[in-house]
Amino acid sequence: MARLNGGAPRTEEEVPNKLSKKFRLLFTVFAMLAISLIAVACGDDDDDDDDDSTGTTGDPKQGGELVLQYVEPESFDPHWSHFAQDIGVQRMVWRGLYNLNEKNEAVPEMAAEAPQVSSDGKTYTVKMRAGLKWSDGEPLTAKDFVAGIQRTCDPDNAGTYKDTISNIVGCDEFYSAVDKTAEEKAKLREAVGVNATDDTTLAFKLENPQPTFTLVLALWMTFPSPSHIVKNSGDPWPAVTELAYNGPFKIESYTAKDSAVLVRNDNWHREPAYLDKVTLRYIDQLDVAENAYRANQLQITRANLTSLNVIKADPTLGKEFLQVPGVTSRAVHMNLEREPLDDYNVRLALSRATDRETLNRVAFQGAYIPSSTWMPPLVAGGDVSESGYDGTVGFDPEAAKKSLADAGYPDGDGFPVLTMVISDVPDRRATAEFLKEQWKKHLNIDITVDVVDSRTRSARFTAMDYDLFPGGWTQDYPDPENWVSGLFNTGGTNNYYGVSDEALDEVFEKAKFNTNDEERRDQYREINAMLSENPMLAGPILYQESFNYLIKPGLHGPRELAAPVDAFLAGDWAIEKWWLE
Amino acid sequence: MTLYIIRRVLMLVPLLWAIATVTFFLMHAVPGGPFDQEKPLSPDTIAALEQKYALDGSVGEQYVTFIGNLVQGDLGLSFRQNRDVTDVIRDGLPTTLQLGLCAFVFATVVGMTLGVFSAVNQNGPLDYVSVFVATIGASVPNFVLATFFVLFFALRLGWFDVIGWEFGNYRQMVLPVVALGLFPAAFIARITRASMLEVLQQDYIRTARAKGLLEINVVRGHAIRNAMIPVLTVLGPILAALITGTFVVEQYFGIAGIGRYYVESVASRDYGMIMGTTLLYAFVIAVMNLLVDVSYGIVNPRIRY
Repeated sequence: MARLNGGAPRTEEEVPNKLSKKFRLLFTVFAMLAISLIAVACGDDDDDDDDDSTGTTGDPKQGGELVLQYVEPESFDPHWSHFAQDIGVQRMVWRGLYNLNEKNEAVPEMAAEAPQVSSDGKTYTVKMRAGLKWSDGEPLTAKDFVAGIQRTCDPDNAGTYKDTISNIVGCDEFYSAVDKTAEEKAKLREAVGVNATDDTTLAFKLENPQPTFTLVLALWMTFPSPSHIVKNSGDPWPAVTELAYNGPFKIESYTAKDSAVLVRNDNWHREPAYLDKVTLRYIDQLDVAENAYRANQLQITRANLTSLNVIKADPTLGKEFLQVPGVTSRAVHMNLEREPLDDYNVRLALSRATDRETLNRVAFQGAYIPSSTWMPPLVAGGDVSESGYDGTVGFDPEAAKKSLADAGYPDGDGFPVLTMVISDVPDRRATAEFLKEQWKKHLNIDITVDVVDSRTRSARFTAMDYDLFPGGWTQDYPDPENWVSGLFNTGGTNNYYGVSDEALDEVFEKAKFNTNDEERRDQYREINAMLSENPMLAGPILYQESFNYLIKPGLHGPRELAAPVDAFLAGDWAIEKWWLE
Repeated sequence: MTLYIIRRVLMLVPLLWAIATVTFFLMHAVPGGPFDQEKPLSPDTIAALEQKYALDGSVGEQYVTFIGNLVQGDLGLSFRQNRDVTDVIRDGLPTTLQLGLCAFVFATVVGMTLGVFSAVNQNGPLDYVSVFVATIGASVPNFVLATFFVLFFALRLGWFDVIGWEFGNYRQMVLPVVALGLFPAAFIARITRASMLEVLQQDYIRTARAKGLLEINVVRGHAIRNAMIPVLTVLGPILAALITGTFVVEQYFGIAGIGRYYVESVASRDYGMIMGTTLLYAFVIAVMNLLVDVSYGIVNPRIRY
C-alpha cells in the first residue's frame, strides 16, 4: 500500500521503521493524556467547600428563586390524578377546605373552622373563610368546591381517586353513568350529595358515617375547580397557564419534559410565600439529578440510592444528605388462593427465613428501615414499632425450618417451585435475588423469578397470575383505614391477594363506621396484627421505605418541615414556608 | 427525476400504513395496558377511563377508528400526558431536531475532516491521531462518553452545564452534541478515509499530478468530490439515526425532546404516543432515504432516474 504525500510513494518496508518511533511517542502521549483525564475526573475535589452544610439559621427572608428536581406530573388535574408527583405540585398551587399538617392532622385551610357533623354522622357542614380569591382575582366560593367534587365523580372526567369519596351520596351513581345521555348525566350530577347553601357554606351528605371524612376534605380530589373557567364538570382541564389557583403559588409556565415555573400567588389568603419563584426541573434519572446538584444547577433533589454510600461518605454531600421515614410498606405478597401459600406455616417459614437487616444493609445501602409491621408505626399508633412483630415472624432460621416441617415439607422436601413476579427495577431485582438465595440457604426451597416490565407486572397482579409478588402500599391519607379498606376485606376492589378471612372481615365491619376514634384505632391495630403476624395475610413485611434527599445549605424548609405528609419532596406540604438565605 | 420523486412520495402512503398496522396490533398484543399500575385502579375507574380514551371496543374496532382519525391527521390522545399526541410532538420535536441536526453537522465536519487528513497522511502522525479518535468514537457508547464529559468538563472544569438545552447557548449544547455525534463522526471518518485512499490511487489523480497541479488542488478538486459518493450514501441514514436516536442523550442531559417520549410511551403503554412517535420516525427515515437517492443524481450526473 502506498500513500500520496506530494512526492514519490514509499515502499511498505520503509514505513514501519520510519514510523515506529513516532507511533510509540504518539501512543505514549495519548495514553498519558487518557490516564490523567480519568484520574482528574475521578479524583477527590480538593476545592470542595467544607463549610457546615446545615447552614446558618435565622429569620426567614422574602425573595429568591429556587430550582429543584422533580418528576413530570402525569396530570395537573387534581380531580383526575393519582401519582405522588402530581399531588405534590397540586398542593403547591391549590388547597382544599382543610390541609394536613406535619402531625397528619386536618387543619382548616379554606374552611374557617372544623366541620359541623350531624348527630347521625351523615351530614357535614363546612363554613368557609370570607373573602377568598382565585389567583386571577375572581371570588372563590362554595360553588367552586361543589364543582371540584362533581368533577371527581364525573364519568367524562374519569377521576382515578373517585373511590376515596364514594361515600358521598350519589357519587358512585354519577360515576357509573358512562353510557347515559347528557341530560341523564346532568340530573345525576345535581344529585351528588354536596351543595353550596350560600357563597361560603357547604353541606356534604354521606351514605354512612365516616370518621375520616375531614381528612378526605384535605385531599386533592376534593380541591375546588375554578367554575368561572371550567364551566362543566366533564370538560377537559385547561392548560396550566389558563387556570386559576388558590394555593401559595401559581403556575406561570410549563414546558413538557423540561420544567414548570411557579411564582408567588398574591391572592393567597395567608401570609405570602417567601420564595418569589420555584422552578420544577423534570429529571427522572437520579444520577443525572445528582450531577446537576453537584454542578449547583439544583438546590434540592432526591438522592440517588445506588450511590448512597458514596454520598454519605462525601465530606460535603454527607452533610447535605437528609433521610426521612416515609409511609410506604414493602412486603412479599402471596397469592393465598394457591397452595401451599394458603398454609400459615408456609408463610411463617418464608418470613422467618428472611434476614431483613442484611437485605437493607447489602441490597439498599441502608436506605430503608427493616420492618415486620404492615402499617407503619405512625399510622398504627399505640405500641407498634417497626420491629413489633419480629418475635413471631422475624429472622430465625431454625424456627423457619420447623415451620416448614410443620407444614409438611421437612428440609424443603416436596415443596413446589414458586414463581415470583417482579418488574425490571433495581430495588425489586435486589429483593428477589436476596430472597431466592436466603430461602434456598435456610429452607432448601427454590423459586423462579419472572422479570417483566412494570405494566405487565401490574396486569399479572390484578389477574392474580403470581405466587409471590414483592409489592406494598403507600398511604393516600393518614388513617389506618386506608391500609385495609378495599385491600384485604373480602370482595375489596383492590384485594388481589386472595385474602378472605372471616375474623378480619368481622373486625373491619365494626371499625369502618365506628365514630369512637379510640376504639376504631384499636380495631385497626387488631387487623394490623392479622396482616403482619398471624395469620400474616399481607405476606412477610420487609421494610418501610424512607426518602433520601440532597439539600443545599442556605435552603430552609425541606429539612425543618420534613414529615410523613410530604408528597414528593421533603417539606413540600408547606412550600410557602421555604426560604433562601 | 420529478416523476421519480413523486412516485417515491406516493410510496410513503402504503409504507406508513403498513408500519402503522403492524405497530398497532403488536402494541395491543403486549401484556399489560395503559391503566395497569403499581396501585391498581378499581374496575369502574378502568371502565370510565376506557370509555374516555375510546378503548372500550374490540382491537379491530379501535384499529378502524385509529386509521379513520389518522387520515384526518388526528393521532389521538396521550394517556400519559393527557393531551393530544400532535401537541406533544409539536412541543418536543423542535428540540430533538436541533439536537439531531447539530450532532449531524458536528459528525459530518469532524468525520470528513478526520477522514481526509487521515487518508492524505496515510500512516503518518495525523493518520494515527485520526484513527485513534475514530476508534474511541466508534467503540465507546454515547452514555459512557456522556458520563465522562459531564464528570470532567461540567463538574470538574465547570465549562458546561450538566442539564438543559437552549439553542445558541454553548454551555448547554456542546456536551450533548459531542456525545451524540462522536459515534457517527467516527463512522464517517472511516468511510471517508477508505474512500479517499481508493480515489487517490485512481489514474485521473495521477494525471492531475502529472499536469503539475498543487497537491491541495488535486485533493480538493478531484479526490474529495469523487470520494464523497460512498460517504453520501451513509449520511442520510446517519441523519435519520441521529434524529430518531436521541433518547439516551436527552435522558442524560435532561433535554425535553421527543426521543424520551418514544421509549417511555412503550413502557407506559401510551398507545397514542407509541403510534405517533413510530410514524414520525418512520416518516423521517423514509424521507432521508429519498433525499439520499435524489442526491446521488446531483453528485454523480452519470446516475439517472
